Amino acid sequence: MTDSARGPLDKMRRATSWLECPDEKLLEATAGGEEEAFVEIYRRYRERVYRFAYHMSGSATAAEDVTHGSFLSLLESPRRFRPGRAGLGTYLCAVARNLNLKRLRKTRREVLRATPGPETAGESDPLETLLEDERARVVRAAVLRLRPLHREVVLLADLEELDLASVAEIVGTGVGTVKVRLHRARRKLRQWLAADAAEPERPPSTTRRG
Amino acid sequence: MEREETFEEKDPQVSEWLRRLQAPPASPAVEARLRASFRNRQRRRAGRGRAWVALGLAAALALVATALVVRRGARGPAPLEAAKPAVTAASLEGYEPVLRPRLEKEAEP
Repeated sequence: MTDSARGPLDKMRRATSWLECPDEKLLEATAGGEEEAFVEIYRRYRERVYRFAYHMSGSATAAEDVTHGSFLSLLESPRRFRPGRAGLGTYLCAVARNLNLKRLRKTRREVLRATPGPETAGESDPLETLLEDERARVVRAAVLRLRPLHREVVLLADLEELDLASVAEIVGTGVGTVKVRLHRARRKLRQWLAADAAEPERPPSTTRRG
Repeated sequence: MEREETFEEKDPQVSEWLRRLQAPPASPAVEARLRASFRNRQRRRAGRGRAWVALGLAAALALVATALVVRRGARGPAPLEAAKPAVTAASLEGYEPVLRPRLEKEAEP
């Protein structure tokens, strides 16, 4: 029986039941043709995957494409995810990472643009909002200046707050290499952001051949 | 890594800076695209299933047809109708019996 043949109450009941399902059951149901199970997987992990893709690429459009591709990979190659090896969130971030690197290689040139981010919510003081936005813009520009291999580890370890083993799993290297890259990334960020604290203005865009 | 620096797994200063980064929420269009991809894939799978069934039926029919043809060939040509002697029509008109054939010797050189 297809979803369209089911009543709306039945659909709602089934959608609610997916909320409590573990990831493995959702994957099985997805393979069995349950669309709502697949959508539940997407809703569980979309923020993490999208945020990582957005900060890696600096572009909302690119982040949407990468997010779509990451979840689509669960449909196209479901056997690639091995539950014992890593969590589903870690796997999806790894796919997003690879898709983003492919995209960068294709374009061959990374335009580092401090794209305007969302407005800071909940700030009543306009000056404070402006200052907060400016600080965020500066941090965003600094992160986008990092090489992709450094950028990804600092985003995963210091923004997503994953442990080093998960970071290593996502980027496909050893924990030792992750430590080295992370150390270098943090050092660069301190150099630039400490300098930014002294200088009032930085150029908004930097183009760098990737 | 420089020797005098020790690696700290967490860096509160960098984490604080990065927390200023805010990503816009993922657009609802992404979910719509995924639903469309899911449905397309389901349709393709159903189509592939039907194609395999049709192929199987065609193969089965071909096999049956081949078996019939082979069986017909093995049986050989249709048997003659029983007990009818072969009859050749002949006429005696103009027939003159030869009582004693005479062989004429060729003249000696």
